[in-house]
Amino acid sequence: MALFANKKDTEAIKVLFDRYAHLVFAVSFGILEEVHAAKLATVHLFINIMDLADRIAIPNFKSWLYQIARNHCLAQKNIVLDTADFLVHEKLNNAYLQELEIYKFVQQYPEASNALFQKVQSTKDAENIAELFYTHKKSFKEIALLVGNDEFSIRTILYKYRLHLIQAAFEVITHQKLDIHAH
Amino acid sequence: MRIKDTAYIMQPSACLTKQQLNAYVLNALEPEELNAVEFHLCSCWFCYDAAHALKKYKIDWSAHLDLEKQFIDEHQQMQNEIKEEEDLLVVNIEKVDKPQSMKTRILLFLLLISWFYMLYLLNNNYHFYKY
Repeated sequence: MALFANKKDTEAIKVLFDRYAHLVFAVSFGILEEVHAAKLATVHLFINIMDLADRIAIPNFKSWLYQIARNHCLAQKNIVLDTADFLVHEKLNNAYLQELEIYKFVQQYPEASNALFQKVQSTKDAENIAELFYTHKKSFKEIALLVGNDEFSIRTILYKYRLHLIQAAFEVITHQKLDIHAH
Repeated sequence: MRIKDTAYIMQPSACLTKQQLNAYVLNALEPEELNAVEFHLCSCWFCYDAAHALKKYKIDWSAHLDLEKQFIDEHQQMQNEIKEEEDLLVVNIEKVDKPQSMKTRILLFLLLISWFYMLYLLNNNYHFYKY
């Protein structure tokens, strides 16, 4: 995006298009429920992005694109946007930055990793599902059959488990940082 | 398992490619790749929404997901339209300019003649009153 904005490098837009167009199409299709309309929305969105490239600074392209794709399609369907819809990009961007920070921290201090799991506030079911998925490498479908739930609620449980882990990690990181500074 | 897992759970992963998305929707992924895809879906709302939307209709999306040609065509068409509009504007300006200048010339010429005629009439009248 920055390459295109600064040097008008059309290859950069092609790369972005190649990487995200199918996702934008699918998200648009989910909202508009029509193949042709979703295709048009995707193509127009990327053409608009080319106009916007040198006007705004985008820290996290992926979450920004997701947000504008959703808003664009919701507006086409005349669905009034909720205040929560405007915060999606911010939320996702913050979560992404937090995850990166945690990942770097855990790599730097592997001994802190154990403390994270002790602090995670989640149900036993969620812990079991997380263990089945992350340790035993079971698929959503297999876990759904084992637990008696549908595939997408398994994903939601895993997503929430990750969120709890992120929250716990942040607490540990702040404590650890304080300890490091104290020593 | 728990000591090592935080780094594993938090490790960044790339968004789904066209092929991965299509294969996931059609349930045609190998177990290892399926795990990698589902691992990413746990952290990415964009890919999750996309997969969720397409999974409602279990058909081969590969033809529809190949949007590059349409994008290039549309972009080319838009650029052509902009060029055509610009050309039309230039042509219009040229076209409008010439008749305007001709019209003004004719109008000025007529005005001049009318002034001469008025002067002639006034001159005649003056003579008329004089005598």
